Amino acid sequence: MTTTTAATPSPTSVASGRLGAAPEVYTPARSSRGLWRDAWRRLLRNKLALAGMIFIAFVVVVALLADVLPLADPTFQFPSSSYARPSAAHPLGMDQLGRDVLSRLIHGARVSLAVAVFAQAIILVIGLFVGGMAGYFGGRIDNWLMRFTDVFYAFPDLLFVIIITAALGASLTNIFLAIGLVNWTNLARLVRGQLLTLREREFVTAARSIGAPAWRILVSHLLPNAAGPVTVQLTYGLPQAIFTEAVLSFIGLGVRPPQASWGTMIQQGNEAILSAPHLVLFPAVALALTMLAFNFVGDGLRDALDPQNTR
Amino acid sequence: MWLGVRNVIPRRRSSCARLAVTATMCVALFASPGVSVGQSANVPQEVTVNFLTQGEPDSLDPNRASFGYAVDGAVVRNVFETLLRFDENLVPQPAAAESYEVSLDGTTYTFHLRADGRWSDGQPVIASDFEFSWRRLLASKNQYAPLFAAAGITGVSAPDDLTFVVQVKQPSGALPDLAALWMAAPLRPDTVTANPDTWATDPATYLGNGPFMLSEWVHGDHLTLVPNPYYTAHLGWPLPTLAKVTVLMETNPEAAYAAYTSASNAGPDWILVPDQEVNSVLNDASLTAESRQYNELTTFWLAMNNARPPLNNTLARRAISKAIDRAALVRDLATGVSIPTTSVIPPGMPGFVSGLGHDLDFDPAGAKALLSQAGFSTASPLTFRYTDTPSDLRRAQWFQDQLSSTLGLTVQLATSGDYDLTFGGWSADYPDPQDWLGLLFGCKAPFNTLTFCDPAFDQLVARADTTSGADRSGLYAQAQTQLMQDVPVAPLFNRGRLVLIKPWVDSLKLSPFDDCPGSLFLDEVRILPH
Amino acid sequence: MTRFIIRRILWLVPVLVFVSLITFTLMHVTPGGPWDKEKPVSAQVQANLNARYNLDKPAWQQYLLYMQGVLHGDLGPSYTYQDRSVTDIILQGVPTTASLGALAALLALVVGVPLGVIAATRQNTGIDYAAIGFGTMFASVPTFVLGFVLIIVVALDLHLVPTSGWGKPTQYILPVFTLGLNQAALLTRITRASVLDVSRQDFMRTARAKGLREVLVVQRHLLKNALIPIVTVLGPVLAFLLVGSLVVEQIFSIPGIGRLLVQGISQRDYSLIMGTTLLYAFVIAGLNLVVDVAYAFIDPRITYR
Repeated sequence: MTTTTAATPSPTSVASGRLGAAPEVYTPARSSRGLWRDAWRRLLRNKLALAGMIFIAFVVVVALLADVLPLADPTFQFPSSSYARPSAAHPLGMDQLGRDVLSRLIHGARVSLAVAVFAQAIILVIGLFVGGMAGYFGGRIDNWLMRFTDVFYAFPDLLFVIIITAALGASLTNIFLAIGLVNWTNLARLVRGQLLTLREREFVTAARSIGAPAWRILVSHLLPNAAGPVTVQLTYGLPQAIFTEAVLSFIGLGVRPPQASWGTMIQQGNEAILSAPHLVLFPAVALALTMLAFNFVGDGLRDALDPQNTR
Repeated sequence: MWLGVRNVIPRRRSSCARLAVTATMCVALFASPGVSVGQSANVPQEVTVNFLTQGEPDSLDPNRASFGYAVDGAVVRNVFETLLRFDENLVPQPAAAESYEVSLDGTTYTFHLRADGRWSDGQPVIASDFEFSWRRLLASKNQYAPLFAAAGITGVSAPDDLTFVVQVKQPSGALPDLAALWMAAPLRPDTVTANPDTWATDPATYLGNGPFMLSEWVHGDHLTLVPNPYYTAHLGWPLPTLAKVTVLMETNPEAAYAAYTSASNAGPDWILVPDQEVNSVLNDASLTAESRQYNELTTFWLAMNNARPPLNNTLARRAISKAIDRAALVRDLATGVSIPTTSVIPPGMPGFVSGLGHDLDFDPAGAKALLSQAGFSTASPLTFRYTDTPSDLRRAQWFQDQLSSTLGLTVQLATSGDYDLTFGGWSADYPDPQDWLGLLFGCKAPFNTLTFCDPAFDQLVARADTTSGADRSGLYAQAQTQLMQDVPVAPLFNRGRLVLIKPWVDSLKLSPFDDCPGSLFLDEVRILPH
Repeated sequence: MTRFIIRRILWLVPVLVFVSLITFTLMHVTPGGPWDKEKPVSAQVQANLNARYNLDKPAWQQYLLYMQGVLHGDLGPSYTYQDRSVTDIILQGVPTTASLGALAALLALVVGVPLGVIAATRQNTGIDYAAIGFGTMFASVPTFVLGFVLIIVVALDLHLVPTSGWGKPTQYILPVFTLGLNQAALLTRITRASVLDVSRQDFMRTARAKGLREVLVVQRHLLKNALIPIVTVLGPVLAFLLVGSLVVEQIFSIPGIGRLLVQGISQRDYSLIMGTTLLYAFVIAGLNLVVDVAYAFIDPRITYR
């Protein structure tokens, strides 16, 4: 962060409220732009993270284009072809009801990505709200909110998600609702921590002293600084959400048939794992690679956004 | 048991592992009196079986049987001995009762118990034990109680220690079958009334009069049966050769299969092959050599709505039945080991008539002819109802394709509402025609959802139901013949299963009425040296 | 210190109340009653059962009655196995899950920590890269996937060890590996990072400059300080093992608590669900408490409010 100039702004410019007039005073804005650009460069240099990003991009593109690609209908049951081995027409084989595995795998990717993204969206909203309130207001509100968060934190999350899904019924919306409702605690703590630290910084005091409205402080100062760790946290949360959905589907609380999801594919494939292992292997490997890719990207982001990283 | 549209097959499959002779045990195991090791004296007579494929038993109390946990019967029927017992042809034979007679008007059954029946603690088995149990069963709200009530049982009594009397409202030819069901096992009034809820969960209080007794129960994992020291061979029923039976509770049929096929011989000694592995077994020469096929007392059929045109016409229904290639059906939808059939009662039980309904078998030309004879317009579509699951959809689509290619019919698939066709079936509660005919196809039958009604058939069935003795089977055959001429349903196949049996298991009898393969005649199994 | 411990123990109470409240509410919010399973029951039987399970009382009263029972160690009767109480059922599964978790934890510690130390002390050598590779790969591969791959490889190709059940030592191998390898990888990474971090610290240089032998340096200064982050993460690791055992028990058909919970959910056995959930929460909260207290003992620099 570049240093503030020793000169104080002239009373006239301050009184007119044109805070943006002397940008060199409010260095966070510029340094955060610089931080992101630096971070991006560092991220690109990280081989593993780069590989991860390419893989994820591939998965996302294929998933989005699922309807357009020349794939078989994922729910169509080809007669007399249960457990068919991979062939030219069906590169990954067929499952127990004669459905094309490749097509189901790609449609399953949609489910996984949707769950990941929407769950994280819910986590972001709740986490920002709770963490933001606690960090910004401090005092008793902070205390109570943190107690609430701690109690939530103590409930093992997978268990909690299972119970919620069992209660609400198995459906796609309920799954990412459940995941979102349970896993926001880390993000809330993070946001709160960031806010608490930043509150004490001089520029915030300065901004408040000249009467800058709270929301403006939040938007132009606190959030951009918190954005880095929050992004890392969310990125780490994506593979967790994907995994949770797979586990739920495996237990039987996942999406309803005949919708394809990697977890349900594994669960159904498990019934014939000895004679048709490809039914379990393909979705399992897809799951593992996707999670790996997201974790690599998360690691890379974390390293790249680390302000102490001087490379 | 009703296999309606929803649950065509009892959802939890029953798989049974073969009795496996596992580790060699020392002779000390055979110290209990009365246990005979038989010819294979030096081989430990131990097996491991996966009878309890639904996991931890709901309850091993005979009076608390339930449709959902039918496999518990595999254990109960070996720990208890009922008045009569089914033989290989599924005809009830004297067991705990050495004889019985029926009064002239058919309303009183008198069972004479054998004097050497003993509980596993040495107490003699007396008639009031049966009286206590039967009263308890009839008074309970158990799912099987209606079966006994439907037989018209008005009262049971025990005039003396070795005489047990059952009164029925009208003559009931099926009473001997009911008396051989494991729910009708005797119970010890003292133990049961002392611990009404827990007597069946503790080996110490779980007293039985059968060939085996419960020696250990590790909940959720397995239980162990050992011979009942006070059981004696009698009336052709032998002493058990096995000295120890470990009953597993593996709910995942694939895992049981993996345990059987793994190189270490520590798994079950016989298992029911899960449907998805049947092909891999048949493609493997060594596994095929160890496999045996048998059919269950289950028939699946294409149920037709007899009230609605166009299927209210017998000719049209017969045409539909002739349009189904059952061999292809079995191959595509039923793992290939099921048996096509054209009559309702399955083979292996009294009442089965071989070749009955052969004119309902696959015959596309004949079907077309019948259809035009019936004045059926192929333009109007038929509705096939199925449950909204992918496997049901698969089955529905198969029928849709078949009827369209054979007869040119248009079949629409629907998950609710009125229907013309649907997949259905029935599974025997007890191996007697009475369980199959009157209950399902009678005009006022509780399970008749087909709106089928043929007074001639009803008459035949009513007469057969109230006859006992040699005439019964003839009357039932007539009734079934009449039924097959009416074609209310198009019988498709009897469910067949494949069992894998380790080569050292000998004298294993598979019966269609097994709750689990091998459970009916467990006391005859022996282990060969290996 | 004691005040801290007491406060942490007292903290268990609101956590457990919260967990039980949420679970209870969720169970009773679900549509369909516990008797809507495959076995339809008559109205009379249903009324009897409702009375026995207190289902005819208002919800808040049911909850209080239940919690009262919990305090006396009675987790209520099971809805599925009507002859047995939930406490009995769970107690049967506890040794299995506990041994699975303990063995997996042992594997994670015995493999992860030494590997991390070795990797750090021989930085940038072959073994270091191997350790990093192991750590990165297996930390991200879900237990789920690992379990199935092991089953396929072992059962199909090698026929070496059984793939289901629990009781014989050969049956322990695959599940323990599946559960523990993930955390072993995590511990490798953390240990390595921590050891590297500590060895760069000034006091290490001082110790070496003082002329202390390397062995003593490692023992007295390095290990004790490096262990702190490991102990920190031990809480989440143990919690992960406990919850992960749920999945592993499903995959390998192990009759533990996790399988009971899944069974309970599919059979709508409310008291079984409540009982197992409470047990999980209690054990995890307890483990976290133990870890926090151990942490306080190890690191004298930490002061607690």
